[in-house]
Amino acid sequence: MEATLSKAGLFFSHLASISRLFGVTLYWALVAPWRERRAGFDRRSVLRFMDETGVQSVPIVVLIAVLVGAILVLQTAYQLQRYGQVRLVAGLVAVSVSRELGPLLTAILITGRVGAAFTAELGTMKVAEEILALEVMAVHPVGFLVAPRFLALVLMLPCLTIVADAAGLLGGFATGTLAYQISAASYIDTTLHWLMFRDVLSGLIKSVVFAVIITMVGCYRALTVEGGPEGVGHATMGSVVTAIVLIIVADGIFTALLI
Amino acid sequence: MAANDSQAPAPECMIDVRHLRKRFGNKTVLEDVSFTVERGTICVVMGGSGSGKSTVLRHLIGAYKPDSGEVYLDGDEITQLDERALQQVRRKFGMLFQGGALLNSLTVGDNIALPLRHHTELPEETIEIMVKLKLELVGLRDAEHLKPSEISGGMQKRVSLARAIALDPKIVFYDEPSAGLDPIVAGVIDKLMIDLTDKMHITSLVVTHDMQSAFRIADKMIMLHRGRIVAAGTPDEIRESPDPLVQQFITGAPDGPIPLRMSQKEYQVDILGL
Repeated sequence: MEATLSKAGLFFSHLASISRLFGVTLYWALVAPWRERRAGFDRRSVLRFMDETGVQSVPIVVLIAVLVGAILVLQTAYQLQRYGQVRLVAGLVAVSVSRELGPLLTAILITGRVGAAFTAELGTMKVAEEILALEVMAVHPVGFLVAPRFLALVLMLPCLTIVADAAGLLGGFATGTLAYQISAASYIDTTLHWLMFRDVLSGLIKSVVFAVIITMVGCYRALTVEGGPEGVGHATMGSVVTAIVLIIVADGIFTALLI
Repeated sequence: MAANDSQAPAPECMIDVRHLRKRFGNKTVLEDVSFTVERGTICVVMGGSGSGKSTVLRHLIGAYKPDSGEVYLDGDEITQLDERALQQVRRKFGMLFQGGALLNSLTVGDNIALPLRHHTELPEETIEIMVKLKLELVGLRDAEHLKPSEISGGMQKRVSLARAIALDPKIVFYDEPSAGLDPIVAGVIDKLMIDLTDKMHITSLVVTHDMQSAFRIADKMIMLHRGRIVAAGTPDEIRESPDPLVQQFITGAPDGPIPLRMSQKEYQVDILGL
Protein backbone atom coordinates (compact mmCIF):
# COMPACT_ATOMS: atom_id res chain seq x y z
CA MET A 1 0.00 0.00 0.00
CA GLU A 2 2.73 2.39 1.03
CA ALA A 3 4.82 1.40 -1.98
CA THR A 4 1.88 2.06 -4.30
CA LEU A 5 1.30 5.45 -2.71
CA SER A 6 4.93 6.48 -3.05
CA LYS A 7 4.93 5.29 -6.68
CA ALA A 8 1.82 7.35 -7.34
CA GLY A 9 3.48 10.31 -5.63
CA LEU A 10 6.54 9.88 -7.82
CA PHE A 11 4.35 9.72 -10.93
CA PHE A 12 2.64 12.99 -10.07
CA SER A 13 5.91 14.70 -9.18
CA HIS A 14 7.30 13.66 -12.60
CA LEU A 15 4.11 14.91 -14.23
CA ALA A 16 4.48 18.22 -12.41
CA SER A 17 8.13 18.50 -13.49
CA ILE A 18 7.25 17.74 -17.12
CA SER A 19 4.52 20.37 -17.03
CA ARG A 20 7.00 22.86 -15.61
CA LEU A 21 9.46 21.98 -18.37
CA PHE A 22 6.64 22.47 -20.89
CA GLY A 23 5.97 25.93 -19.48
CA VAL A 24 9.62 26.92 -19.66
CA THR A 25 9.87 25.49 -23.19
CA LEU A 26 6.83 27.45 -24.33
CA TYR A 27 8.43 30.62 -22.96
CA TRP A 28 11.74 30.01 -24.75
CA ALA A 29 10.08 28.83 -27.97
CA LEU A 30 7.34 31.42 -28.35
CA VAL A 31 7.91 34.40 -26.02
CA ALA A 32 11.67 34.75 -25.62
CA PRO A 33 12.48 35.22 -29.34
CA TRP A 34 10.44 38.47 -29.24
CA ARG A 35 11.16 39.57 -25.70
CA GLU A 36 14.73 38.66 -24.87
CA ARG A 37 17.57 40.65 -26.33
CA ARG A 38 18.69 37.47 -28.02
CA ALA A 39 16.75 34.28 -28.74
CA GLY A 40 17.88 31.37 -26.58
CA PHE A 41 18.65 29.37 -29.69
CA ASP A 42 20.04 29.71 -33.16
CA ARG A 43 17.17 30.05 -35.64
CA ARG A 44 19.03 27.93 -38.17
CA SER A 45 19.01 25.03 -35.71
CA VAL A 46 15.20 24.91 -35.98
CA LEU A 47 15.54 24.38 -39.72
CA ARG A 48 18.15 21.69 -39.16
CA PHE A 49 15.89 19.83 -36.71
CA MET A 50 12.93 20.25 -39.07
CA ASP A 51 15.01 18.51 -41.71
CA GLU A 52 16.23 15.77 -39.35
CA THR A 53 12.90 15.07 -37.65
CA GLY A 54 10.54 15.84 -40.51
CA VAL A 55 11.96 15.62 -44.01
CA GLN A 56 14.16 12.63 -43.27
CA SER A 57 11.22 10.77 -41.70
CA VAL A 58 9.10 11.02 -44.86
CA PRO A 59 10.23 7.73 -46.51
CA ILE A 60 9.54 5.56 -43.46
CA VAL A 61 6.23 7.30 -42.77
CA VAL A 62 5.12 6.85 -46.39
CA LEU A 63 6.12 3.19 -46.41
CA ILE A 64 4.25 2.39 -43.21
CA ALA A 65 1.19 4.45 -44.13
CA VAL A 66 0.85 2.85 -47.60
CA LEU A 67 1.05 -0.62 -46.07
CA VAL A 68 -1.41 0.20 -43.30
CA GLY A 69 -3.83 1.72 -45.81
CA ALA A 70 -3.62 -1.45 -47.90
CA ILE A 71 -4.02 -3.76 -44.92
CA LEU A 72 -6.95 -1.74 -43.64
CA VAL A 73 -8.73 -2.11 -47.00
CA LEU A 74 -8.15 -5.87 -46.96
CA GLN A 75 -9.46 -6.23 -43.39
CA THR A 76 -12.44 -3.90 -43.83
CA ALA A 77 -13.44 -5.36 -47.18
CA TYR A 78 -13.34 -8.84 -45.69
CA GLN A 79 -16.03 -7.81 -43.22
CA LEU A 80 -18.06 -5.69 -45.62
CA GLN A 81 -18.22 -8.54 -48.16
CA ARG A 82 -20.65 -10.37 -45.90
CA TYR A 83 -23.08 -7.51 -46.32
CA GLY A 84 -22.29 -7.02 -50.00
CA GLN A 85 -21.08 -3.48 -49.31
CA VAL A 86 -17.44 -3.68 -50.44
CA ARG A 87 -17.97 -0.34 -52.21
CA LEU A 88 -18.08 1.42 -48.82
CA VAL A 89 -14.54 0.34 -47.98
CA ALA A 90 -13.13 3.55 -49.47
CA GLY A 91 -15.03 5.79 -47.08
CA LEU A 92 -14.40 3.71 -43.98
CA VAL A 93 -10.71 3.47 -44.62
CA ALA A 94 -10.37 7.16 -45.47
CA VAL A 95 -12.02 8.17 -42.21
CA SER A 96 -10.08 5.71 -40.03
CA VAL A 97 -6.78 6.71 -41.57
CA SER A 98 -7.24 10.45 -41.29
CA ARG A 99 -8.93 10.47 -37.89
CA GLU A 100 -6.94 7.79 -36.17
CA LEU A 101 -4.28 5.69 -37.81
CA GLY A 102 -2.45 8.41 -39.69
CA PRO A 103 -1.77 10.60 -36.63
CA LEU A 104 -1.26 7.70 -34.22
CA LEU A 105 1.11 5.61 -36.32
CA THR A 106 3.12 8.65 -37.36
CA ALA A 107 3.46 9.69 -33.73
CA ILE A 108 4.57 6.21 -32.64
CA LEU A 109 7.09 6.01 -35.51
CA ILE A 110 8.46 9.43 -34.65
CA THR A 111 8.68 8.51 -30.97
CA GLY A 112 11.01 5.69 -31.94
CA ARG A 113 12.93 7.66 -34.53
CA VAL A 114 13.08 11.15 -33.03
CA GLY A 115 12.03 10.96 -29.37
CA ALA A 116 14.63 8.28 -28.69
CA ALA A 117 17.27 10.34 -30.48
CA PHE A 118 16.40 13.42 -28.39
CA THR A 119 16.80 11.47 -25.15
CA ALA A 120 19.99 9.75 -26.22
CA GLU A 121 21.61 12.94 -27.52
CA LEU A 122 20.64 15.27 -24.67
CA GLY A 123 21.16 12.51 -22.10
CA THR A 124 24.71 12.00 -23.32
CA MET A 125 25.24 15.75 -23.07
CA LYS A 126 23.94 15.68 -19.51
CA VAL A 127 26.31 12.86 -18.57
CA ALA A 128 29.28 14.62 -20.22
CA GLU A 129 28.52 17.78 -18.18
CA GLU A 130 27.79 19.67 -21.41
CA ILE A 131 24.43 20.80 -20.02
CA LEU A 132 26.07 22.03 -16.83
CA ALA A 133 28.65 23.79 -19.00
CA LEU A 134 25.83 25.61 -20.80
CA GLU A 135 24.35 26.67 -17.48
CA VAL A 136 27.71 27.93 -16.27
CA MET A 137 28.05 29.93 -19.51
CA ALA A 138 24.65 31.41 -18.61
CA VAL A 139 23.10 29.82 -21.70
CA HIS A 140 19.70 28.44 -20.76
CA PRO A 141 19.73 24.71 -21.68
CA VAL A 142 15.98 24.64 -22.30
CA GLY A 143 16.19 27.67 -24.55
CA PHE A 144 19.25 26.43 -26.36
CA LEU A 145 18.50 22.72 -26.67
CA VAL A 146 14.83 21.98 -26.03
CA ALA A 147 13.06 24.96 -27.62
CA PRO A 148 14.38 24.45 -31.18
CA ARG A 149 13.59 20.71 -31.05
CA PHE A 150 10.13 21.51 -29.74
CA LEU A 151 9.40 24.06 -32.47
CA ALA A 152 10.71 21.75 -35.17
CA LEU A 153 8.63 18.76 -34.14
CA VAL A 154 5.44 20.72 -33.44
CA LEU A 155 5.70 22.10 -36.97
CA MET A 156 6.76 18.86 -38.64
CA LEU A 157 4.56 16.20 -37.03
CA PRO A 158 1.31 17.64 -38.49
CA CYS A 159 3.04 17.81 -41.89
CA LEU A 160 4.14 14.20 -41.56
CA THR A 161 0.60 13.31 -40.55
CA ILE A 162 -0.77 14.86 -43.74
CA VAL A 163 1.81 12.86 -45.69
CA ALA A 164 0.76 9.70 -43.83
CA ASP A 165 -2.93 10.41 -44.49
CA ALA A 166 -2.27 10.83 -48.20
CA ALA A 167 -0.06 7.76 -48.38
CA GLY A 168 -2.62 5.71 -46.45
CA LEU A 169 -5.40 6.74 -48.82
CA LEU A 170 -3.15 5.89 -51.75
CA GLY A 171 -2.37 2.44 -50.36
CA GLY A 172 -6.05 1.86 -49.80
CA PHE A 173 -6.92 3.10 -53.26
CA ALA A 174 -4.41 0.77 -54.90
CA THR A 175 -5.62 -2.27 -52.95
CA GLY A 176 -9.32 -1.44 -53.35
CA THR A 177 -9.11 -0.93 -57.09
CA LEU A 178 -6.73 -3.81 -57.80
CA ALA A 179 -7.87 -6.51 -55.34
CA TYR A 180 -11.60 -5.77 -55.16
CA GLN A 181 -12.21 -4.43 -58.66
CA ILE A 182 -13.78 -1.21 -57.37
CA SER A 183 -13.55 1.30 -60.21
CA ALA A 184 -11.19 4.18 -59.59
CA ALA A 185 -13.93 6.74 -60.12
CA SER A 186 -16.22 5.03 -57.65
CA TYR A 187 -13.46 4.67 -55.05
CA ILE A 188 -12.54 8.36 -55.27
CA ASP A 189 -16.19 9.36 -55.26
CA THR A 190 -16.93 7.36 -52.09
CA THR A 191 -13.81 8.71 -50.39
CA LEU A 192 -14.73 12.32 -51.13
CA HIS A 193 -18.29 11.71 -50.06
CA TRP A 194 -17.35 10.21 -46.68
CA LEU A 195 -14.26 12.11 -45.77
CA MET A 196 -14.92 15.46 -44.09
CA PHE A 197 -12.39 18.23 -43.55
CA ARG A 198 -13.28 17.84 -39.86
CA ASP A 199 -11.80 14.32 -39.87
CA VAL A 200 -8.47 15.50 -41.20
CA LEU A 201 -8.46 18.48 -38.85
CA SER A 202 -9.09 16.36 -35.74
CA GLY A 203 -6.14 14.17 -36.75
CA LEU A 204 -3.93 17.24 -37.13
CA ILE A 205 -4.95 18.66 -33.75
CA LYS A 206 -4.03 15.33 -32.18
CA SER A 207 -0.70 15.28 -33.96
CA VAL A 208 0.24 18.64 -32.37
CA VAL A 209 -0.53 17.19 -28.94
CA PHE A 210 1.54 14.09 -29.79
CA ALA A 211 4.48 16.28 -30.84
CA VAL A 212 4.34 18.06 -27.48
CA ILE A 213 4.34 14.70 -25.67
CA ILE A 214 7.25 13.29 -27.70
CA THR A 215 9.49 16.33 -27.20
CA MET A 216 8.62 16.90 -23.56
CA VAL A 217 8.99 13.28 -22.47
CA GLY A 218 12.14 12.83 -24.56
CA CYS A 219 13.85 15.96 -23.25
CA TYR A 220 12.66 15.54 -19.66
CA ARG A 221 14.08 12.02 -19.47
CA ALA A 222 17.34 13.32 -20.92
CA LEU A 223 17.67 16.27 -18.54
CA THR A 224 17.11 14.00 -15.55
CA VAL A 225 19.59 11.28 -16.58
CA GLU A 226 21.77 9.98 -13.75
CA GLY A 227 24.65 7.57 -13.84
CA GLY A 228 26.63 7.41 -17.06
CA PRO A 229 26.00 5.48 -20.28
CA GLU A 230 23.79 2.95 -18.52
CA GLY A 231 21.60 5.79 -17.33
CA VAL A 232 21.32 7.13 -20.88
CA GLY A 233 20.24 3.73 -22.19
CA HIS A 234 17.70 3.35 -19.43
CA ALA A 235 16.33 6.86 -19.98
CA THR A 236 16.04 6.30 -23.74
CA MET A 237 14.04 3.13 -23.25
CA GLY A 238 11.91 4.82 -20.61
CA SER A 239 11.31 7.81 -22.82
CA VAL A 240 10.01 5.70 -25.73
CA VAL A 241 7.73 3.60 -23.52
CA THR A 242 6.40 6.59 -21.56
CA ALA A 243 5.81 8.65 -24.69
CA ILE A 244 3.90 5.84 -26.45
CA VAL A 245 1.71 5.23 -23.40
CA LEU A 246 0.99 8.95 -22.99
CA ILE A 247 0.28 9.28 -26.73
CA ILE A 248 -2.34 6.55 -26.60
CA VAL A 249 -3.90 7.97 -23.43
CA ALA A 250 -4.01 11.44 -25.01
CA ASP A 251 -5.41 9.87 -28.17
CA GLY A 252 -8.28 8.42 -26.15
CA ILE A 253 -9.01 11.73 -24.45
CA PHE A 254 -8.84 13.82 -27.61
CA THR A 255 -10.86 11.32 -29.64
CA ALA A 256 -13.62 11.55 -27.04
CA LEU A 257 -13.41 15.34 -27.10
CA LEU A 258 -13.20 15.78 -30.87
CA ILE A 259 -15.69 13.18 -32.05
CA MET B 1 24.34 33.11 12.41
CA ALA B 2 26.39 35.85 14.06
CA ALA B 3 25.76 39.39 12.85
CA ASN B 4 29.29 40.04 11.65
CA ASP B 5 29.10 36.90 9.49
CA SER B 6 26.59 38.47 7.11
CA GLN B 7 28.80 41.43 6.29
CA ALA B 8 29.86 41.80 2.70
CA PRO B 9 33.37 40.52 2.00
CA ALA B 10 36.32 42.85 1.45
CA PRO B 11 36.68 43.99 -2.17
CA GLU B 12 39.98 42.15 -2.56
CA CYS B 13 38.24 38.91 -1.68
CA MET B 14 36.92 37.35 -4.93
CA ILE B 15 35.64 34.09 -3.47
CA ASP B 16 34.32 33.98 0.08
CA VAL B 17 32.76 30.76 1.32
CA ARG B 18 31.22 30.86 4.80
CA HIS B 19 30.11 27.91 6.91
CA LEU B 20 28.94 25.79 3.98
CA ARG B 21 26.95 22.72 5.03
CA LYS B 22 25.41 20.15 2.74
CA ARG B 23 23.77 16.78 3.30
CA PHE B 24 22.58 14.27 0.71
CA GLY B 25 19.97 12.13 2.42
CA ASN B 26 21.50 11.36 5.80
CA LYS B 27 25.09 11.57 4.53
CA THR B 28 26.90 14.78 5.46
CA VAL B 29 29.01 15.81 2.48
CA LEU B 30 30.17 19.25 3.64
CA GLU B 31 30.53 20.23 7.28
CA ASP B 32 31.20 23.90 8.01
CA VAL B 33 33.52 24.69 5.10
CA SER B 34 34.82 28.29 5.09
CA PHE B 35 37.62 29.84 3.06
CA THR B 36 38.48 32.91 0.98
CA VAL B 37 40.42 33.47 -2.23
CA GLU B 38 42.07 36.83 -2.93
CA ARG B 39 41.90 38.58 -6.30
CA GLY B 40 44.49 37.41 -8.80
CA THR B 41 45.60 34.31 -6.91
CA ILE B 42 45.31 30.58 -7.52
CA CYS B 43 43.71 28.51 -4.79
CA VAL B 44 43.97 24.73 -5.00
CA VAL B 45 41.35 22.59 -3.30
CA MET B 46 42.62 19.06 -2.86
CA GLY B 47 41.38 15.92 -1.27
CA GLY B 48 40.73 12.31 -2.08
CA SER B 49 37.70 10.89 -3.85
CA GLY B 50 34.59 11.54 -1.81
CA SER B 51 36.24 14.27 0.27
CA GLY B 52 33.66 16.80 -0.90
CA LYS B 53 35.91 18.88 -3.14
CA SER B 54 33.69 18.52 -6.20
CA THR B 55 30.67 19.35 -4.06
CA VAL B 56 32.35 22.60 -2.98
CA LEU B 57 32.92 23.45 -6.65
CA ARG B 58 29.30 22.74 -7.54
CA HIS B 59 28.19 25.14 -4.82
CA LEU B 60 30.50 27.82 -6.15
CA ILE B 61 29.00 27.65 -9.66
CA GLY B 62 25.45 27.64 -8.29
CA ALA B 63 24.64 24.08 -9.37
CA TYR B 64 23.91 23.03 -5.78
CA LYS B 65 22.16 24.99 -3.05
CA PRO B 66 23.70 24.54 0.41
CA ASP B 67 21.66 23.52 3.44
CA SER B 68 23.21 26.49 5.20
CA GLY B 69 26.07 28.88 4.65
CA GLU B 70 26.93 31.57 2.14
CA VAL B 71 28.98 31.86 -1.03
CA TYR B 72 30.16 35.29 -2.20
CA LEU B 73 31.61 35.66 -5.69
CA ASP B 74 33.04 39.10 -6.38
CA GLY B 75 30.81 40.50 -3.62
CA ASP B 76 27.55 38.82 -4.76
CA GLU B 77 25.93 36.27 -2.50
CA ILE B 78 24.82 33.51 -4.90
CA THR B 79 23.10 30.85 -2.80
CA GLN B 80 19.85 32.80 -2.53
CA LEU B 81 19.67 34.04 -6.11
CA ASP B 82 16.91 33.06 -8.50
CA GLU B 83 17.79 31.67 -11.92
CA ARG B 84 17.82 35.00 -13.74
CA ALA B 85 20.04 36.73 -11.19
CA LEU B 86 22.36 33.72 -11.10
CA GLN B 87 22.75 33.98 -14.88
CA GLN B 88 24.00 37.54 -14.44
CA VAL B 89 26.62 36.42 -11.91
CA ARG B 90 27.64 33.47 -14.09
CA ARG B 91 28.78 35.82 -16.84
CA LYS B 92 31.57 36.88 -14.48
CA PHE B 93 33.12 33.44 -14.26
CA GLY B 94 34.22 30.63 -16.54
CA MET B 95 34.81 26.98 -15.88
CA LEU B 96 37.05 24.26 -17.25
CA PHE B 97 35.26 20.95 -16.88
CA GLN B 98 36.98 17.67 -16.17
CA GLY B 99 36.01 16.16 -19.51
CA GLY B 100 36.13 19.45 -21.40
CA ALA B 101 32.33 19.44 -21.85
CA LEU B 102 32.55 20.94 -25.33
CA LEU B 103 29.35 20.76 -27.35
CA ASN B 104 29.98 17.96 -29.82
CA SER B 105 27.50 19.23 -32.39
CA LEU B 106 29.44 22.48 -32.83
CA THR B 107 32.92 23.11 -34.22
CA VAL B 108 35.74 24.20 -31.92
CA GLY B 109 35.34 27.79 -33.14
CA ASP B 110 31.58 27.80 -32.59
CA ASN B 111 32.05 26.40 -29.09
CA ILE B 112 34.20 29.38 -28.16
CA ALA B 113 31.92 31.79 -30.01
CA LEU B 114 28.84 30.50 -28.17
CA PRO B 115 29.16 32.64 -25.02
CA LEU B 116 30.21 35.62 -27.15
CA ARG B 117 27.20 35.29 -29.46
CA HIS B 118 24.92 34.77 -26.50
CA HIS B 119 26.01 37.57 -24.24
CA THR B 120 27.42 40.29 -26.45
CA GLU B 121 26.15 42.39 -29.35
CA LEU B 122 29.46 42.09 -31.17
CA PRO B 123 29.31 41.78 -34.97
CA GLU B 124 30.19 38.40 -36.39
CA GLU B 125 33.55 39.60 -37.77
CA THR B 126 34.68 40.75 -34.31
CA ILE B 127 33.58 37.45 -32.77
CA GLU B 128 35.63 35.57 -35.37
CA ILE B 129 38.70 37.59 -34.45
CA MET B 130 38.13 37.03 -30.73
CA VAL B 131 37.75 33.29 -31.28
CA LYS B 132 41.08 33.26 -33.12
CA LEU B 133 42.72 35.24 -30.31
CA LYS B 134 41.48 32.87 -27.62
CA LEU B 135 42.53 29.84 -29.66
CA GLU B 136 45.98 31.34 -30.21
CA LEU B 137 46.26 31.78 -26.45
CA VAL B 138 45.94 28.01 -25.99
CA GLY B 139 47.97 27.29 -29.13
CA LEU B 140 45.18 25.77 -31.22
CA ARG B 141 44.37 28.29 -33.93
CA ASP B 142 44.44 25.56 -36.58
CA ALA B 143 41.71 23.53 -34.88
CA GLU B 144 39.02 26.18 -35.34
CA HIS B 145 36.99 24.30 -37.94
CA LEU B 146 37.33 20.81 -36.44
CA LYS B 147 34.69 19.08 -34.36
CA PRO B 148 35.61 18.27 -30.72
CA SER B 149 35.51 14.55 -31.57
CA GLU B 150 38.28 15.09 -34.12
CA ILE B 151 40.85 16.40 -31.64
CA SER B 152 42.62 14.73 -28.72
CA GLY B 153 41.52 14.90 -25.09
CA GLY B 154 44.29 17.30 -24.19
CA MET B 155 43.36 19.59 -27.06
CA GLN B 156 39.70 19.44 -26.02
CA LYS B 157 40.70 20.64 -22.58
CA ARG B 158 42.68 23.52 -24.00
CA VAL B 159 39.72 24.48 -26.20
CA SER B 160 37.51 24.25 -23.14
CA LEU B 161 39.87 26.63 -21.36
CA ALA B 162 39.67 29.02 -24.31
CA ARG B 163 35.89 28.87 -24.06
CA ALA B 164 36.00 29.44 -20.30
CA ILE B 165 37.90 32.69 -20.78
CA ALA B 166 35.97 33.83 -23.88
CA LEU B 167 34.09 36.53 -21.98
CA ASP B 168 37.20 37.64 -20.05
CA PRO B 169 35.89 36.38 -16.72
CA LYS B 170 37.08 37.57 -13.32
CA ILE B 171 37.09 34.05 -11.90
CA VAL B 172 37.89 30.71 -13.55
CA PHE B 173 37.06 27.39 -11.92
CA TYR B 174 39.03 24.29 -12.88
CA ASP B 175 37.69 20.79 -12.22
CA GLU B 176 40.59 18.29 -12.27
CA PRO B 177 42.46 20.15 -15.04
CA SER B 178 45.18 17.51 -15.35
CA ALA B 179 42.98 14.41 -15.13
CA GLY B 180 43.54 12.09 -18.08
CA LEU B 181 46.35 14.18 -19.57
CA ASP B 182 49.96 13.21 -20.16
CA PRO B 183 52.50 15.10 -17.99
CA ILE B 184 53.54 17.45 -20.79
CA VAL B 185 50.00 18.55 -21.67
CA ALA B 186 49.24 18.83 -17.94
CA GLY B 187 52.28 21.10 -17.68
CA VAL B 188 50.99 23.19 -20.58
CA ILE B 189 47.62 23.62 -18.83
CA ASP B 190 49.43 24.59 -15.59
CA LYS B 191 51.44 27.20 -17.45
CA LEU B 192 48.29 28.59 -19.08
CA MET B 193 46.67 28.90 -15.65
CA ILE B 194 49.64 30.80 -14.26
CA ASP B 195 49.78 33.05 -17.35
CA LEU B 196 46.10 33.88 -17.10
CA THR B 197 46.46 34.75 -13.45
CA ASP B 198 49.52 36.93 -14.00
CA LYS B 199 48.58 38.65 -17.25
CA MET B 200 44.83 39.00 -16.95
CA HIS B 201 44.61 39.10 -13.17
CA ILE B 202 42.09 36.27 -13.15
CA THR B 203 41.27 34.60 -9.85
CA SER B 204 41.42 30.82 -10.08
CA LEU B 205 40.06 28.00 -8.00
CA VAL B 206 41.43 24.60 -8.93
CA VAL B 207 40.04 21.29 -7.70
CA THR B 208 42.62 18.56 -8.14
CA HIS B 209 44.31 15.57 -6.61
CA ASP B 210 47.42 15.92 -8.78
CA MET B 211 49.96 16.98 -6.15
CA GLN B 212 52.77 17.81 -8.58
CA SER B 213 50.57 20.27 -10.46
CA ALA B 214 49.07 21.61 -7.22
CA PHE B 215 52.44 22.63 -5.78
CA ARG B 216 53.45 24.12 -9.13
CA ILE B 217 50.51 26.52 -9.42
CA ALA B 218 49.10 27.20 -5.96
CA ASP B 219 49.29 30.46 -4.03
CA LYS B 220 47.11 28.87 -1.40
CA MET B 221 46.08 25.29 -0.72
CA ILE B 222 43.11 23.82 1.06
CA MET B 223 42.80 20.17 1.92
CA LEU B 224 39.41 18.58 2.44
CA HIS B 225 38.76 15.30 4.15
CA ARG B 226 35.29 13.89 4.75
CA GLY B 227 33.65 17.24 4.13
CA ARG B 228 35.87 19.26 6.47
CA ILE B 229 38.87 21.48 5.85
CA VAL B 230 41.76 19.72 7.57
CA ALA B 231 44.57 21.98 6.36
CA ALA B 232 44.93 25.37 4.67
CA GLY B 233 47.92 27.53 3.86
CA THR B 234 50.65 28.31 1.36
CA PRO B 235 52.29 25.42 -0.52
CA ASP B 236 55.29 25.64 1.83
CA GLU B 237 53.11 25.50 4.93
CA ILE B 238 51.28 22.49 3.53
CA ARG B 239 54.52 20.75 2.59
CA GLU B 240 55.85 21.29 6.13
CA SER B 241 52.58 20.35 7.79
CA PRO B 242 53.03 17.89 10.65
CA ASP B 243 49.50 16.55 10.14
CA PRO B 244 49.84 12.85 9.15
CA LEU B 245 46.67 13.15 7.07
CA VAL B 246 48.25 15.87 4.93
CA GLN B 247 51.59 14.06 4.70
CA GLN B 248 49.89 10.85 3.60
CA PHE B 249 48.03 12.70 0.88
CA ILE B 250 51.12 14.54 -0.40
CA THR B 251 53.31 11.46 -0.48
CA GLY B 252 50.54 9.13 -1.61
CA ALA B 253 51.39 6.54 1.05
CA PRO B 254 48.89 3.66 1.01
CA ASP B 255 48.99 3.33 4.78
CA GLY B 256 48.07 6.15 7.11
CA PRO B 257 45.14 7.89 8.73
CA ILE B 258 43.16 7.82 5.48
CA PRO B 259 41.88 4.27 5.17
CA LEU B 260 42.17 2.53 1.82
CA ARG B 261 39.28 0.24 2.59
CA MET B 262 35.68 1.26 2.50
CA SER B 263 34.51 -1.38 4.94
CA GLN B 264 34.86 -0.76 8.64
CA LYS B 265 34.04 -4.37 9.51
CA GLU B 266 36.69 -6.84 10.62
CA TYR B 267 38.10 -8.78 7.67
CA GLN B 268 37.93 -12.17 9.37
CA VAL B 269 34.36 -11.56 10.46
CA ASP B 270 33.30 -10.70 6.92
CA ILE B 271 35.11 -13.59 5.26
CA LEU B 272 34.69 -16.38 7.74
CA GLY B 273 31.48 -15.26 9.39
CA LEU B 274 33.12 -15.65 12.79
